[in-house]
Amino acid sequence: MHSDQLAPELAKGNPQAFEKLYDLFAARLYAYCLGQLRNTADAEDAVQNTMVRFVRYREKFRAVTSLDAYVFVCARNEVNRLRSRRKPGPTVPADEVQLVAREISGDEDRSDEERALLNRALLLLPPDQLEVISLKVWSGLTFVEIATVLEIPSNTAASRYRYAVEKLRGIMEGDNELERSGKTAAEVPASQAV
Amino acid sequence: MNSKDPEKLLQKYPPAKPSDDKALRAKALNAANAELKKPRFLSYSKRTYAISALAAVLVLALAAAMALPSMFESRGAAPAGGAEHQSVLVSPEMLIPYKTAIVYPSQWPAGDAVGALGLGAGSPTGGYVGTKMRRLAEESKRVADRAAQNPGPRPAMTLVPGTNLPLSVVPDNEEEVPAETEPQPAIIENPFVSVGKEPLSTFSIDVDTASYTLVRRSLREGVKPQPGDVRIEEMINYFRYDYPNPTGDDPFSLTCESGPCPWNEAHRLILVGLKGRDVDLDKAPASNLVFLLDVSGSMSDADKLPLIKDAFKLLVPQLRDKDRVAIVVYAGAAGVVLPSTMGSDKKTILEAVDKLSSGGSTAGAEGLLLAYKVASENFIKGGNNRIILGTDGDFNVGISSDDELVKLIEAKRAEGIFLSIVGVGAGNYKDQKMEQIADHGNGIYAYLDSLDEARRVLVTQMAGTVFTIAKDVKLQLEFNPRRVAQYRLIGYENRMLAAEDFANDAKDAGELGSGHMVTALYEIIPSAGNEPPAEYVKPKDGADFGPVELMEVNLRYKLPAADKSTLMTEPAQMRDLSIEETSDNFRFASAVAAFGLLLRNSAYKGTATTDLVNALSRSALGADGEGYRAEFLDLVRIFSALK
Repeated sequence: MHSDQLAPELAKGNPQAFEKLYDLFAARLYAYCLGQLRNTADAEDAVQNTMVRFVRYREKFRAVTSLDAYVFVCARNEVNRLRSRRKPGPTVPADEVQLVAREISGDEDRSDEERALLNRALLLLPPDQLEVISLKVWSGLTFVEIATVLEIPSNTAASRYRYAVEKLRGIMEGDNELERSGKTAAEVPASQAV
Repeated sequence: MNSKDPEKLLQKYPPAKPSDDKALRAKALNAANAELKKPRFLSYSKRTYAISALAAVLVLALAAAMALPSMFESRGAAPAGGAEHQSVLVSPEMLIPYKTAIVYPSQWPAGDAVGALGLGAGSPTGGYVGTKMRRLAEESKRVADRAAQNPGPRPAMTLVPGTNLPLSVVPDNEEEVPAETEPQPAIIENPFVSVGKEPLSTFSIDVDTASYTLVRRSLREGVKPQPGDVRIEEMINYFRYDYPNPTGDDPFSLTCESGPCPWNEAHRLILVGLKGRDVDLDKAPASNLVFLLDVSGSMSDADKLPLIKDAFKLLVPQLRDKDRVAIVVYAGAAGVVLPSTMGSDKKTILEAVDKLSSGGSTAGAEGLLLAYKVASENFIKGGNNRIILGTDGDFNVGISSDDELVKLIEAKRAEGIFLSIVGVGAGNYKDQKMEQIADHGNGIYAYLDSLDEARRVLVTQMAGTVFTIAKDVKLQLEFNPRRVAQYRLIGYENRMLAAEDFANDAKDAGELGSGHMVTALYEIIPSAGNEPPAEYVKPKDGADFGPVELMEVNLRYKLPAADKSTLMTEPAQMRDLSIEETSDNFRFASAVAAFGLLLRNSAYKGTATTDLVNALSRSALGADGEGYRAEFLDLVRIFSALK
């Protein structure tokens, strides 16, 4: 089943189509949700709930023009839903969440220090900047698709991405205000940051 | 430095994966398949249109009914004594968050048939309408049967504006509202009562807390709770207060306090607090409990998993800090949903219980092995190490035969881990098999048919004692007519007793368990003069009030094994405290009450606002070790955002 034919099959409620959908998107969805929720259990819940929603509202696949954008719109809604239900508790220390995969075997060029640096820098990004990076780099969406997901103009999506990359560079070069003030992005409530 | 180019690094290091890819895939696809198999009334996208259409039809029908009452009256002759005049006012807002509305008159006129109305509404939080429609059909059938059993002249039913018909709404939540439950009638709040006419106020205590849970769930889903679900006394009693421990032989302590009424400057508020004696559990050995729960699809009926969950919530407050509880579930796959957790961390335990839901098929053996593993890992030497299996008996053992199962259970018993079984539901419940298994496990076997039974059993399981410290606990306040003109008991609407029932030992009332607390708030209108009103008649055996006392609190209870009640009496004086001088107990309880009044949009809410609730509760967070009060603040925030 080619992904072009996937949407009509999903709308019909074909179980194999949903399996295919899962295999196509699960990893990217998980990465996206983890970045937004910063909690592995919540991220897994979000992936599962999103799948259930795909099924429940399967008729909507008929009208879907970009499967990628639709999938992440749903995931984003689910993330917001989980976030609003979550109690404001103690935040997870930034360096305890692993957004970047730990396994670095098989590639001599990768180092754990570098990986940790990237992970820490990503966690220091405000959630909306991390979101755009995750959607662009890890989910492989185009700026037009990102704009659809985030409900912003595509120019804004592109410039937000540039800002995010610059910020990331700044953090990694140790020349960052956030870091100097000793605050981490995780401590900034999402409501203020977005 | 080139290697620090963020875009390159991002390409180089892939994002993290779920810790167990395959498990998540299986879980998600299972959930998706389960959703796929659910029968559908209409597709979700079409459902919105259906609601609007149905709501419009309903509104038109009501308008027609109001305009043309004669049409309805002509249906039959009115019986002597007058007809039931009832009306329904339903707005689309009331229905949209719910799947189904069932409309009942409060009393069933003999021989009358009553229609049930079903609306399908696509709630964003899940569920489907099929079950609700089935229940609705069953309900309609029940009504029709009842009507058939009572043939007779049909009384007229007229729809008249301005009178109320209790409206029972089945929330989008299958666990909390069993199909068999009678409709929850609308709460009619206690009014202000004049001390001149009725100097005594009598009620039974109530330690339930379910209403707060309902309210919390509703608000977290972004929906205002139904006024009928807001029982203020249950909200207040959800929280623990800093009342003194009882001294001497009394099973409880009694605390009274009076201060300004935060939502009405001219009124005052009286708090009456009871704290039950803490039974000395420390001498009992620590418990290491592993609950092994069947969460397969067959457990979703109201009398199964939801019952176990409710019973659980009653058990949790009884846990001691040294106890440990773990929860293992089994359905398609077995899993630990709550790793062994200390009894002091009640919040975590309750949250895990709240999250339990059923679905999938049964594979018990894996679950049993896992439960034994968890129990062994947390073994308490000399303690009560026990697995409590909750199931409807559809226990697919997997271990090839019952003999093998029995061998396993006996071997574990020798290691000091016992197995108890609580059975629920009627269905394909395999009673004998269960009993046999439990016998081998040195365990108690029990069948739960009701929440009371569940409470008794689970609490008994824990330490071999029933923790009830007093039964039939009744409170009676006698107000000093010189000081109090009118009073109003906040909440306890369905717990009111007649004054003469107080001393009647045959009259049932609430139970108080070890460490339980009960709080009641009275809003009072102080007396202007210093003399009792002319109509005042001192009650028989009434108190001899001086000019200072505010009231006398009388309390009757029976010890668990006693038939005769004991009387406790406590006079309370009014000190004119300012709000800053009042205790945290007083301020927090009044904040919860004010929040309840707002949620109900009560006629008595006075000047209460969410800001007031917020300020009051913030000033009274106390130790709040378990974080409940902080959570309350969160609900207040959600509610004010909803407005």
